[in-house]
Amino acid sequence: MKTEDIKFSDALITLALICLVGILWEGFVKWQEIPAYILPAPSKILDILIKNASMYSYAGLLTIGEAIAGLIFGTITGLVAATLLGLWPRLEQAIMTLAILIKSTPLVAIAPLLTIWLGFGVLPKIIITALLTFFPVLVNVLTGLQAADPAFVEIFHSWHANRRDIYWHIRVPHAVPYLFAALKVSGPLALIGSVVAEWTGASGGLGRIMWLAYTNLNLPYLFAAVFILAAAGVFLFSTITWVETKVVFWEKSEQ
Amino acid sequence: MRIQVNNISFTYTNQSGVNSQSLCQALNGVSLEILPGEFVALLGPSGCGKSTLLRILAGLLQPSEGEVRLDGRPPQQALASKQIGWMAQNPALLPWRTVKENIVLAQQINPQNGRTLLSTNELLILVGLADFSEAYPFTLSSGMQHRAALARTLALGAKLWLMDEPFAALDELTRENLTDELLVLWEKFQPTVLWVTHHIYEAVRLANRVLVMTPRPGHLHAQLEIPWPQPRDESILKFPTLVLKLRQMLEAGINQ
Repeated sequence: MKTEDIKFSDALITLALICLVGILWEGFVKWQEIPAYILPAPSKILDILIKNASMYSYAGLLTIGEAIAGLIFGTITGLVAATLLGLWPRLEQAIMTLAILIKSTPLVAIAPLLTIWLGFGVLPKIIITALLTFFPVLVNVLTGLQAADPAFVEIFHSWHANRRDIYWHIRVPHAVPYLFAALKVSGPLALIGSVVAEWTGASGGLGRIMWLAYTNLNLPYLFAAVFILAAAGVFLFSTITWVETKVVFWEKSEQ
Repeated sequence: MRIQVNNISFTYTNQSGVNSQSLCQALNGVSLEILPGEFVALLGPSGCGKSTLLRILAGLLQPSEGEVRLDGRPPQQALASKQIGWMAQNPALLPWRTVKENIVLAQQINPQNGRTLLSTNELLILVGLADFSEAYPFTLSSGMQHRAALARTLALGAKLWLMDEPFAALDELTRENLTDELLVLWEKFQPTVLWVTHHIYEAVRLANRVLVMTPRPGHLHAQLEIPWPQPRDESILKFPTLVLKLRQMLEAGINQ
């Protein structure tokens, strides 16, 4: 089979599995006669989604936009911190302590604070998402920078290469696959970050819709938002994976 | 390049824990002299400090005692002016660079003005990789990867080649082909070669002179001149005789 055929049949299997879960869910709800305020049937949720398409697409774009902006911001922060640590290892303890402090402070504790300070706009959501996503990037990229193959370093030493050469030609390219490993974790995390930030107060977005639906026990609306988030998570993850295969072309072939 | 090694010793210090230091003496009183253009094989059991000696000669390690002179100067000076071509078992080609880009890098880093170097194309022709200049290392067989590493070593235009079992990971046939081609390159460029190996047969095939080391702490136990011209005929009787003689020297060194 050609690679494209395999990819196509893989996509078919995935789609079939999702449909199967949907059908089982639908059947279970109908058979047990579960009320919509406990567990709505998928058909009901899709119906809500289609009827409120413009509201959901606007909210979805807003939330996903916040997530992506926060992800970019967090990734850049993580990259800068990892670069500083790679160049000046003596900073490691100071920066890592600070990073762990930020990382271990509960998101739900900071989110309301930022909302109070910065209002209901997008800025606090982007900051929360960035705080959530910079840590995996920092830790992974730093590992990549430090774990360069000693055989390469030895060859460079035999040319009397300076530290900058070793950094640019060995350590940085070696850290690129580690960056993508981090993004696969922090990409889906970014969506969680922006939604949770919206729960604490927002003028728009999926998080706001979810919160309103929850307080009214309007579960079909809540699930509709969850569907969009799940789809966005899959899309974000597969985009990152796709870019990875293009950028880190040497990695897969080595294994 | 003339190599003079005067009574060097080397001890590894492994810092394990706060106060405990375990010492491991790798070399003990090694002295040797290698003349310009010689092809010398360094033969010894594994773990006898052959690689340590080579790293000291390359200026990558400092001896604990004794001194090394390359053309009368400390090895760090030869290293700084890229007079040392270093090749180890791992071809160590950067996977994100093509064969050509890998070779170019050897010339770009710490460039030496005024040295005439071979172009990438010439180098690739010399090692038989002319058709693979745009290929990435992972698409090549391991034999071809070693050819590329050889081209990269040649790219430096160094007068001394320090080779730490460069083809040891290859299958026998590929290894013999590559060492034959290496001999041709050696005769063409006439560098001084120090070739570390634990393969007796290979030492007899390649070297003008074989130095035999003892197990750790390594020192030179014996040496054997092989004044035969290249290429060497392995079917003649004195070939296996010499292999046997070297084996006896090695064993005598081990049981010493």
